Order: sequence, then structure tokens, then C-alpha cells
Amino acid sequence: MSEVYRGRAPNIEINKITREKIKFTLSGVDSSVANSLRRVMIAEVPTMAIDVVHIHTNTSSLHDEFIAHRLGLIPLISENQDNYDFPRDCKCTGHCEHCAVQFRLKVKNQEGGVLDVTSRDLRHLSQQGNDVRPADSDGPILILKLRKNQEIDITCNARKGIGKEHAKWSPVATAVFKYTPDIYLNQQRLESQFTAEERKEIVNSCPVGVYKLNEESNIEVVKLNKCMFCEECMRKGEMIITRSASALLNVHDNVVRVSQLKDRFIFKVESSGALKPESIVSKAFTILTKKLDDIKQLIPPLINTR
Amino acid sequence: MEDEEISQEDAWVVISEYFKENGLVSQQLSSFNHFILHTIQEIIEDSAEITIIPERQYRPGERQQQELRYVISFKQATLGARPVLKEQDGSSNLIFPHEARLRNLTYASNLLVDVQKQSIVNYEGRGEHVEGEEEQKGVFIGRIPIMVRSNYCALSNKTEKERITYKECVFDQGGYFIINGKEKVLVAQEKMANNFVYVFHRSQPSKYSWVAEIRSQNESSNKVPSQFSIRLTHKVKSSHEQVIRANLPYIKSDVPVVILFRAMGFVADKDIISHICYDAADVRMMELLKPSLEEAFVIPSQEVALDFIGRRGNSVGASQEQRIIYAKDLLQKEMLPHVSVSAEYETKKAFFVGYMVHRLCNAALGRNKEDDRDHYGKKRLDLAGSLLANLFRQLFRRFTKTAQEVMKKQVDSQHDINLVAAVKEHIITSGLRYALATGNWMQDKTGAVSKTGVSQVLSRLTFSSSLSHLRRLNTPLQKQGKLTKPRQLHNTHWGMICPAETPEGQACGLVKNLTLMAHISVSCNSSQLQRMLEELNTENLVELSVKNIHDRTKVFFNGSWIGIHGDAEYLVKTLVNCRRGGMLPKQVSIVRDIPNKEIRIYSDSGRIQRPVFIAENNKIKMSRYYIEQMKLPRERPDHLSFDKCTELGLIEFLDTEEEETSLIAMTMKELNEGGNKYHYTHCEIHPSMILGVCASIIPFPDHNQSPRNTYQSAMGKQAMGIYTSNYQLRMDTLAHVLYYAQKPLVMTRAMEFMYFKELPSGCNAVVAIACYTGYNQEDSVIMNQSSIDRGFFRSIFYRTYENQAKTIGGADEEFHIPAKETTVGTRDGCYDKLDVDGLIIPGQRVSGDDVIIGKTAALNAFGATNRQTRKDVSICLRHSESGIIDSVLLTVDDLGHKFAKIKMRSIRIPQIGDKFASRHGQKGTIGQTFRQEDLPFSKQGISPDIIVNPHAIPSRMTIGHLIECLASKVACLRGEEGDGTPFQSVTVEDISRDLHALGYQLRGNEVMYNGHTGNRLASQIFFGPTYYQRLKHMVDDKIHSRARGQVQSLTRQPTEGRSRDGGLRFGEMERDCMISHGAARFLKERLFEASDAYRVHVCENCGLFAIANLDRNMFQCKQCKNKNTRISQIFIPYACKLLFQELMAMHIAPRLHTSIS
Ligand code: SF4
Ligand SMILES: [Zn+2]
Repeated sequence: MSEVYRGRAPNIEINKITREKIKFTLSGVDSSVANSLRRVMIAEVPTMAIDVVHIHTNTSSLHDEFIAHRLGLIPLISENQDNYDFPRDCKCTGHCEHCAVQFRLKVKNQEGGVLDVTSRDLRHLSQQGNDVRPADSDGPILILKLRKNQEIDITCNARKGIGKEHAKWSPVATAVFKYTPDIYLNQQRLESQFTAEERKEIVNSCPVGVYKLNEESNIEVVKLNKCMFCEECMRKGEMIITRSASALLNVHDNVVRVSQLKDRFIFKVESSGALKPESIVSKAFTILTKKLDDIKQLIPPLINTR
Repeated sequence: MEDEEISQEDAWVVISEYFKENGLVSQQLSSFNHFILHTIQEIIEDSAEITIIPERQYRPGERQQQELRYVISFKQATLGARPVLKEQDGSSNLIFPHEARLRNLTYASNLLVDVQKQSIVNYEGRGEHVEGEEEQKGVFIGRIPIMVRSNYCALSNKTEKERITYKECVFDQGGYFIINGKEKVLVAQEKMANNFVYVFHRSQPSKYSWVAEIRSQNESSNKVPSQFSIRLTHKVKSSHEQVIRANLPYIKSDVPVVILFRAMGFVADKDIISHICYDAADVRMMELLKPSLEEAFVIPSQEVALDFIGRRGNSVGASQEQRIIYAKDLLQKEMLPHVSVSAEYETKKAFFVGYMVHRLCNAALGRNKEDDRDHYGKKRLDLAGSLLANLFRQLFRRFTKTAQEVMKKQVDSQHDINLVAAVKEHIITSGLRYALATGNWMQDKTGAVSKTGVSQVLSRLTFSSSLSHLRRLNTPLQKQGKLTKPRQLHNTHWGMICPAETPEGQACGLVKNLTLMAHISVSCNSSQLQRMLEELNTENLVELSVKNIHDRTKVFFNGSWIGIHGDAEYLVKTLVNCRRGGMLPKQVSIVRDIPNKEIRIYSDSGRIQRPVFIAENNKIKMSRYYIEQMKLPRERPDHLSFDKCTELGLIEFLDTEEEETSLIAMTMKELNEGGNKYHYTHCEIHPSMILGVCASIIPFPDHNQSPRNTYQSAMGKQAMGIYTSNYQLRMDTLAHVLYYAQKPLVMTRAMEFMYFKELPSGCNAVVAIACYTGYNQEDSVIMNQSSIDRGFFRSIFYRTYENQAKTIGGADEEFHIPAKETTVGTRDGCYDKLDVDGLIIPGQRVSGDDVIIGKTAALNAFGATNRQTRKDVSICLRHSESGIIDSVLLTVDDLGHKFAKIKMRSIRIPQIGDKFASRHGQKGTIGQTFRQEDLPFSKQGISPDIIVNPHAIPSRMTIGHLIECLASKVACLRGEEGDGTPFQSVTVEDISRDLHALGYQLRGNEVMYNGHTGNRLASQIFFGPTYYQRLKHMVDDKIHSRARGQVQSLTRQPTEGRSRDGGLRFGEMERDCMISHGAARFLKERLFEASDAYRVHVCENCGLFAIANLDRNMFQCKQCKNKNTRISQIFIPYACKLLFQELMAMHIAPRLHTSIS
């Protein structure tokens, strides 16, 4: 209990950033804050995605709806999504350069064999909006295949949206956190009541290799952050105690105890390719604060002034 | 290498070779091929010649001195090389199955027969002379439907590539017919085998205590089997006499068996006894026979005996001589025809009757048990070939009869015989087509149908459902009997019939399915076998000495006793070796019954057989050397085929009866480890081959409670997937195709042979077994909405509408957009989407009641007015459906009618209420969908696609489900395919160890966090991928409500059913409920006001309906001239008013007497 009330300052510590992933530790906050951040990243950070599809010609073996669905799922680089309005907020009727980026997909297989149509075949219809384009860092994304003389001709609009509406607008593949593990080893009892063989059993019971036996064949925590709270080590410890004679002493006191720090969260955010992982996080914060601000606006002025 | 032992893994090489060679529908194909190749010709040759004797003509002044007759006989039959179609314009075209399916044609070939006409003249006193002989080659007598991919199909000998160019599915194996464009399967029919002696016990109310019966049918004749039985009376307290009687066909009362012997010429008591009791020292049997001998004491000679029998037959008023001839004839032709029908029948039949009495006595003396009716060795299956043969025989008889009548007429009217005019090809063509189209098989003399449901529309829901349908067996009715025994799994079903796959409810256990490797025998030439038996010193019945029977072994061939043999061991060994060496057909079965001193040999059709490894000295004869040869590519000359294995004596086919005389090791391990404790004769190829098509899809079925496998076997047929590779070209009335069908992470080896990887029917879903929010209670599941957005279990639904414009036979219909001015009865729907040709445009979005085919019919003279001349008969889309027109086909059918097929598609996205199931009989509907952020997540950020409730597990005991999940988890982490084949040595412990090594909790549990709050879930969650199927039941097809709407025209009650926007039935039980609540007014409102309330006026004098004109306020009763007085207005149900009027129509006057209380 006490730890919840002790004075603390929130802190973020970036552990790793790559092109598609960010890992950071958020500490000094409760799970509600951490979870809000996670939920906003998944569902409320806007991106651009193909939303309206006009099919002019389609002689491929996939039907129109199938292609439209696949087009929608292509991640579009949306770093500049702030330049675009949500279609519902835009004053235009239909679409305009403020709320949509238009693409055209026109391919015909003339050579024979099988022709792959990929996200690279999507061309911008006009000069503007070149900043919104299919994410391509992992290579082209296959849309469909064409046989000889098959042809498609499609125009489509990318529009801004959020993951709550449809998963295609979610900027993340996954955004996840876990609690920080805290492992307590009763070294004294481990040394006195356990044989080396039994200690090895405990070490081996961990599927992710959190422990290691050191030179004195004592248990040592080496990869704490790998722990996933599966409690196999605790169970093993208990099992060894119960099967040995020492069961009579102190049964309830575990030799190994895995617990979690409730105000330290290790986050991992994987981008879908639409946004850089770090921008997902920062945008999520912006959105979260804006949400709170919006609510604050609604508080009657009387309370506001006090 | 030559004799290096093989492993269980090598068995799969053999199995795979078996399927490469035979496919999964070989029983259908081989049966049909046999029908075309042999049976048709046999039937045509066996048919009697047509003799036409011209009616004597009266010619004044001429003396007739010669008698002329014509004999027409049918000779060589030939089937057209390829299925053809005669178009309405007269041209003939070769057709392929795909065209037949699209154009609603019948896929059939022409049957041509050479017909010979002889004119025979009988000159008075000078005998007969053949005057003229004429043969007409290739007379067309009818169209025979051709089984797809049989030897007579246009696709036979075509490579996979070629079949694709003919627009066929790459994996389709045929085995069905195409009748009017519909694919029809002939379901194998199970029946009791003929020519088997069964001994049954009968209890008291019956006159007899034991009965030995036989249904005898001669191999070559095709009459109805004739019943024959020998019966032993009950012990009656007063006399201790038990007599034996025989029941003969056409003889009304039972005949003492001794009299039957005397009638066959065995008069002396000693003679008779020696035919029954082979052991002269068997006193007890003699004792049992004594009363019977005494009973027949009064009939001392053959003549008297024959007369005794003849007197009891249909010989009213015949002389004694006639009676004797009648009886003789009956014994020769009607009794036991399978033994002999020739003139020298006596010895053979006497021996057979004696044998039956012997069996009966043995049973009565408690030496043998009663026979088991449900033993599968005594069952035979009628496959497509024999079913068609029976039908064809009947039709051909009708055909010749009609031909005879026509020719008789021609001759009598002084014309020459015109064969072409006499041959009515439509009898056979439409007879076969009718039976295959409706499933009504064969008609008896009264025209009643003897079997229904023989031909069924091939199920095309998913590929495995088609395969399973082609391997289905049906047991005809069993008359709704409450008898459970025929429905139960019998020991002899092992390896032949799938223990899991059977429907639930009424047909449970009556409809069965063949196992994957079960094979059904086709009859083979028996003369060679009979010759061989003779060469091997079998003593013929005619020649043998009765004394020897006891010491020697009786030899039976296809149920008839042909002789005895002194060295049974030698005989059996030689025959078996001949079969293993390929000198005898592999379908012959050789059974040695040591206790009863019998050898039974069968070569008839319809026995189920299965391949097993041959073992000698507890060692499998199949060795590594052969396996290596088998692994070579099929084109190589040194490749070892499965068929070759049977000739090399490595593998043989055992039928149910022979299987019982063999000791089959379950596994090779058992064989090797058994030491010399047992002398195995065979070894199973793989125990998982006891399963059928649908049960082979289940991973780890050996860990499930058995009914769960049965449920899954039924459910797998409703799963959607990719049902054929050519689904875009087909026009099925209903079809579901899954967007992203995946092959399962955990497969069974058998699935490979069913092309499950190529045409899968499900997705690998990430499944958590957890309680979360409570939206997955009572067999519902929570599904991940984000996954659904990304295409998880999305599917397409196709529906084809078809219609034809009839222009023949007075009808005058036309496809076009109906003109509003000249057409009556135009629909409410929208006509704007039609193209100028009256058919809808592909790509159009359509929804309920839109017109998709514009069609009008000419109004007849009565209906037509000067402005309106046509009636609208357009076709509308179903009123609850919507979608996009996928394709439109306009063509001409074989009658020359224009007709159109319109295929509509709609996308089905999983939603609350849709049904899903794992492969373990665990079905559930979606109870709620949550987006990714609301779902629990693991430390890797994986959230489940499906959350099932843990309460689904303990009571159902589907451990296989859990193991599948565990194995799938390992499989996907390793990037390999998991193996879920049953009866293998993988344990949960092994899988757990692998999972632990991969860095996961060993039992598959994971720590998860609540998606709503971010808190850790208190317990760890069993989490991993599991293969799920989407079932065809979807809410969008079922959702329905109605406030008010249409009523039926007859009763004016609300219509029934969703398609008619019907009401929801307020049934008896609901009514009872309201009564018990005392809610009378509510009840009246539901049952009356909300249904068919109707106002009538009743005359208070006579109580009958009166005429009321409310506008003019005039009321009158015609019957009693009652005008405007004493008339009451009442409210009754319309159905009640209808009843009264109907009663009045039959001269019953229901009177309604009214009073105001
Ligand atoms: S709880 Fe599990 S993961 Fe963590 S240390 Fe123990 S065994 Fe390893
Ligand atoms: Zn009246």
C-alpha cells in the first residue's frame, strides 16, 4: 500500500528506438495512466488509409470488394497527417485536397506469366499529397496477381481516420506494456536447504532464462527484464520444499518470490509503418492531454476559478 | 536392404502410394466402369429374344401352309466414346462436364446396340428354316449418364493441366453424375448378403424354436432372391417331439423336411440321415432327427412326396400328374436357385438342404451360437454400378416389351418391321434420368417406388464434405424400428467403417461412412477359380462318398457348397499364395473356419475390403528395399506401385470375414516385441486409417470424448472454405468461400490425401480460454473486432438464381424489360437495373425485391384486354438478401429454351451471432466483439482473436482441443507444421518440453493484462493458436421480425417463415403458459385479433350465414326469407368460417345460435 502514496515523480526512460519499434520505461505512474497511453496509441492516433475505392476495370481473379479491402489495409506514411482534416470536419462535399489524397492503380499484364501488383503501383493522381505514400521500408506490399491480359484500373482516396473506427487506421501493430518484475531470492535458505541439483532445477524451470548458476552454484538473477511472471520458478521452489523433509519448516515462506512493481511499466510499441514509433508515442500524449483539456473546458466557470 | 525392417514412417509412403493410385472415390469409379464394361452387355444378352408371330390373315382362296415368325435379338452393345448432346437444332456436340453443369444438361453417352432380325418359316412337316437374316448395326437405344472421371468420361486420361483448360477443379475426383446440370451422387446401399445360411433362435410366441434361413439368388439370373428356410418346432410339454419342417417358396404350408428329401429322390431313412448327420456316431443329432423321420413315415416314395408338395402349392384342380410336374419344377427352379437350376439338381440340393438341417441341429443342440445379424461380413454394398444395373435391367425389359408391341402392330398392319420406329430410346434415357434426378429407385408392378434418396445432390459446401458424401453408405429404412442393434458400432466395422462419422438423431448409425482405405469388391470371373478348386482335388458333391464328409472340410464358393477336400490347410495355403502371387484376383477372399470344418471362398461384389501388410514369422514382408522403390517417381519403370505390392505378396486386401481368421498386429512395434507369443499373419498399415474423411480432419481425436468427434464430423461439413478450385466458373445455387483460408498449423497425415492443405476450410485463430467480461457465456465467444477489420474469417456468399423462358408447348415467355403499359401484375421492385435484354447488369448492387430477370408471358384470351396483353413473371432477388451481381449467363438448354443464370455475391463479415467451431465439436456463436485495445494482451502484445469460455471444456472432455492449441503454439514458434495424427506416440509432456525450450510456460499458459484497466489478470490464461472453422449459419440469414404483414390467402392467418415475412408462431406451449397465468384477454388478442378475426352476419332464425350489405344497411337471409330483422353480427376466426363453408359443401349445416347475455 505504502508505495502507492510515497512521493514520486513520473519519469520516462527510452530504452531502444529502431525504425519500427520503440521500447521505453514509464515509471512513477499508475496502471490507469499507462493503460490510457496504450489505448490511445492503438485506437486514437490518426493516420491516413485508403477508404474510398472506385473500380473502373477489374478483370482479375479477385472481386472488387476483396481488392478494396486489401487496399485499405496498406499502411500509408502519415507523418503529415496534421495537414489533413478528418473527412467529417472538412467543409468540402465529397473530397478535396484538404481531406483526401488520391491514388490510381492501373495495371495490365501484357507479357504473360503472373504479374504481381503491389503497393508500388499506386500512383498519386495529383502533385499534392506526395507526402502520403505507401510504407515501403519492408519492400512492396502485394495487392493481387494478374494473369495474361487481366487488368485493373482503380482510383482511390486515402483519408484520415482513427483505429477506433477501423483497424486499418491504427498506427501500431501492437502497443503493450508490462509491469516490472521484482524477484526475491532467499539465498540463505537456498544454500542451506537446497542441494546444488535442486538449485539447478529451479534455474532450469524458468523458460526465459532469468536465472543462472554462478561459480559457487548459487542462483543469480541475470535477465530480470525477461521475466514474464509465469511463476514456474516459485512453483518449482515450493515443489522442492514440499517433497523434501524441510516441508515441516516454514512452508509458507517461499524461497523464490516473483512480484511486480506497480508503478514501473516497460512499454513496447511496434509501428505498422504509417508513423515513426516515436511519433506515435508523442502524438498519443498530445491526444491524451487534449482529451483532458477538452473535458476541463466543460467544467463550470465557478469551480474553474477556485 | 532386401529384408531391412521398415518403420511406421515408411508406412506413410505406402499409404500415399495407395491414394495416388486410387484416389478417394475409386469405389464409385470402379463400380461404374464395371457396369459399363460388363454388366450392360450381360443384361442385353440375357434378355429374351423378341418373337413376333403375325396374326393369321384371312385371305380368301389361299391356303396357309407356312407359319412365319420373326425373331429379334440384341447383340453387341457399344457405348459412344464420349458424352454427347443433341441440340434442339439437330446438331450433335461433344460435351464436357462443366458445360453440362452450366447449361443444365445431362452428361450422358449414347448406347448403341446391334440388332439382329431373323425371319423363321415353319413349313408344314418340313421343320423350321431361317429365311432371312438381317443385322442392323448400332441402333441407338438410349442415353446412359456417365460418371464424371470414369473411364467413359471426356476427362479420362486427361492431365491436370488439360482438366484445367476444360474448366474443371484441379482436385475434383469425380464419382458423381450430372443430371440436368445438378451433380448427383449414388449413395451406396447396404443390404444383407444373399446365399448365406443364417441360424436364428425364436422365442415362444413363435411356433418354431430355431430357424435356418437363406435368401438364395442365382449368380447369373437376376430374379428377386428366393426365401427358403428350415425350422425346428418348439418343445411342447405334452409330446417331447421336435420336428423339422421346410418352408418352400410358393408353398403355403410347411413341408416336413424328410418329405422334401424324398421328393428329391432320397427315400431311404439312412440316405436322408447321412445327408444331415455326417458323423455316424453322433447320437444326439440322430435323436433330434428321429421325430421328423417318424412324422414322414406315411410318405414312402418320391411320387407321393412330390404330390404332397404339389398339393400345397398353386395347383388347384390339377391332376396328380400335373401336381408332380409342378412340384418337380418348383424344386428345380425356385428352391435354392443359387445351388443349381439345371435338371440334375437333386444331389446338390439334397446336400445343401442337409447342410442347413445340420447347421440347425448344431444350433439346437447348443454346439453353435445363433448367427449375428449385424456381422458386417454378411453385409453387401450396392454401389453405383449395381444400382444402375438393376435399374437398367428393369428399363431394358420395358424397352423390349414396347418394341415388341410396336413391331407386332407393324406386322399386323401388313408393314415390314421397321426397327428404328420400334425402338423407343426415351424409355431408357428418361427412365435413368428420372431415377437419378429424383432418387426414386426402381418401381414395382404397382408403380410404387421401392427406394428413395438413393441419388442425392452432391454436397459442395466444403471440399471434405463432397469427399465424404461420395463415400457414404445408407442402410435402407429399418422401418423406424426402435431396434438399437443395427445402429451400433460392431466389432467387424473395424477398419471398414468410420467409428466417428455418422449423423445424430433419426439416421444415427444407419448412415455410415467408409474409412479412407476401405475398398469395395467388384465381382470377378469365377470360372477360373472353380477350375482351380477342381484341380486342387476338391471332391465334387456328385462324386463324393457321404462317409467322408465328417473327416474332410466342406468347400463353399459364394455360398454354395461345391465339394469337400481332404487337406484344408494345403488348399487354403495354395489359394492364398495364388492370390498373393497375382494368379487370383486380389478381391477373392478365402476364409477357413476350422471349428466347423469349412472353407468359404467369395468372389462376389459389394464386400468391403482393406489393405494390410502381410506378415510371416512375425515379420512384415514389406521391406526397406521395396519402400525405396516406391519412393521413386511414378514415371520410372522401376517404380513400385501399390497394385504391384499386392502381386508381390507384400500387401493384401482382407474383407471382413477373412479378417476374422487373421491375427493382425496393430503396429510394427507390437509385431516386433510380441516375441513368439503370437503368430501374427498381418500388420495394420496405420491404425489411423480406421477413420473416414471427416474424422481424419480432427487432430488428436484419440484424446477426445468420442461423441465430440462425431459432432465435429458433422460440423466439418458445414464449415466454409474453398470448396473447389474452379468456384468462380461454377454457378452453384448456394456457395460460401472464405477470404483467407489457411492450412492448419496442426495437421494429420491423412489430410494430405484429402487435399486439405490445398483447399482448406478455416483459419488459425489465436485463442484464449478465459472468462472476460462475461460476453462468452453459454457457448458464445468473444471475437477481436480489429482482426475482423483486417479480414479475419471474412467470406463471400454466392447465390445463383436461374430461370428459363419457356417457348414450347403453348407457353410464350420472353426475357425483356416488361413495358408498364402492356403488362399486368408488375412487381413492386425496381426494374431500372435491368439491361436491354431483360437481365441484370453484372456489377450492379442489388437489394431485396429488385428485379433481376425481366420476363413476361403471353396472357391467354380471357386475361387479355386491349391494352394489356402480357403478364409479368419477372424474378426478384430474395427479399432479405442484398449483394452485387457477380455474373450473368444466358444460354439455351437441350430443349431449346433460352435460360439465364444469375450469380449474386455478398460479403459476409463476422458479426455478433455468427457461428464458429474448433475441430473438436466445440461450437459457439459470437457474443461480443471487442477492439484490440479492449482485449486482454500478453507480454508480447498479442491479443486473442477469439476468447472461449473455460466452462466449455470440463464436461465435454475435448482434451484434443487443448493439445491442438499447445502443439500449434510449438508449431508456429518453430515455423513448422505440427502433427496431430491419432495413435502416435507424441505425448503432452513432449510438446510441453518443446514449448518450455522455446521460452514459454510449458503448459501454454500466459500472464495477461486486462485491456480495459491495464491490470494484470489474476490467473494465467491458456493461450495459443487453434484452427477454427466458420460455419454456414449466420445471423443475417436468420434474423427476422414482423409486426404485421401478409396473410395466407386460404385461411387469412399470418404466413409462416422468414422468406415470406411470416409471423412468429404462438404455439401450444405458449398458449398453455398463458392459460396457466389466467391471461385470457391477452390470449384472445394473440390467437384471434392478431390472427384471422373476421366479421360475419348470422341469421338468428336458421343460424346460417346471412348476406349483409353494410353500405346500404341491408341484411337478408336467403334461406328463410328473413330480411333486415333478426340478424346478428359476430366475430369468428376466418378459418372457422372456412370450416363451416366446407361443411356446408358436404351437406352438413353448422348453425350458429346467438344470444346476448
Ligand atoms: S516467473 Fe517465470 S519467467 Fe519469471 S523468473 Fe520465474 S520462471 Fe522465469
Ligand atoms: Zn336464416
